[in-house]
Amino acid sequence: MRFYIKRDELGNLTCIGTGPGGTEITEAEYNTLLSEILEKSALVDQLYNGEITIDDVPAEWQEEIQRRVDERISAQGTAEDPEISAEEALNIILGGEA
Amino acid sequence: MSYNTDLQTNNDELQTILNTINALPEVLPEQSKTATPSLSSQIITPDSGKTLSSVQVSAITKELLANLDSDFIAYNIAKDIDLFGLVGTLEASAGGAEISTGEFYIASHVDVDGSNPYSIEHGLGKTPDFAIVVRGSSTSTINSFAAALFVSNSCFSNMSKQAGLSYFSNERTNNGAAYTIPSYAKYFTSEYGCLADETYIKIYGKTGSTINGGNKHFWLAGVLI
Repeated sequence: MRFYIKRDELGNLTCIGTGPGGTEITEAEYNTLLSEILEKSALVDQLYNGEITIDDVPAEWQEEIQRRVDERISAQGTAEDPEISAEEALNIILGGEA
Repeated sequence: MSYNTDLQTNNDELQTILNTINALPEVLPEQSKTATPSLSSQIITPDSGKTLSSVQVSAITKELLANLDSDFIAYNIAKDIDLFGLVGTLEASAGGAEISTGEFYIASHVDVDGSNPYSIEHGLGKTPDFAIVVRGSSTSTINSFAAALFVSNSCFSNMSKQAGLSYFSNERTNNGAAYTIPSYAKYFTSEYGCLADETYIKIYGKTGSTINGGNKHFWLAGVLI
């Protein structure tokens, strides 16, 4: 399996993935970046939901996490995707009735 | 008398040797040349008045092969097989289609609109006949998802405002008529649509759309055979 990263024109990491494209990285690098992405995403959720304060976020991430929370708050009017079970999702994909 | 005969004989032999030496070809200056492998055999010859001391032949690289043959692409090589440094992406046929798959995570967020899509390189080397992009949660269990399934290279408008599955048929692209979304496709978001070309699956959105970070996205693209 091929692992890659993509960066924007400023060199900021935009995404990681598997398959073609991007700049190839090792699986170990991919897993390291993935852990960081997931951890940051979880912090955004927690800060957004009020479960933590910004002081609970590692100092080097505080600016980014706060910015992402602020962006999420400004977009709060958008309806969230409804949560469905895996079985319901499979039924939809297979063309069954909703 | 015999001395004169011997001297004459020696002189004759020396003259013969001298003539032989004078008849030897001139020593030409040396030169080196390079050659690049091509589709045809090549004969490397020295320039006029020179002799070849060495010929350096370029290495065969994947870039060279790609320049020599446009079919030397990853999609034409079995998946994970490395040929001259080019790793193949061609997967075994699945029910009459060549399939390419992958996943990705957005690091922070990516803004998309009607002109600026988020592009996923599918590696098929040709426009896929169908593609699926599925967004899962950050865990392995899909709690909510937005998926787009499309056939042919033109696919979106008049989408519902729910997130979920949307289906497009070939008839949709021929006459551009408004499409009636099936009853089960009630979760598709109007903010996302997909197009594809021979390189990318492209996710568009209306102005202000964002693909948020931290979620696992799975994609699949295929060419019917």
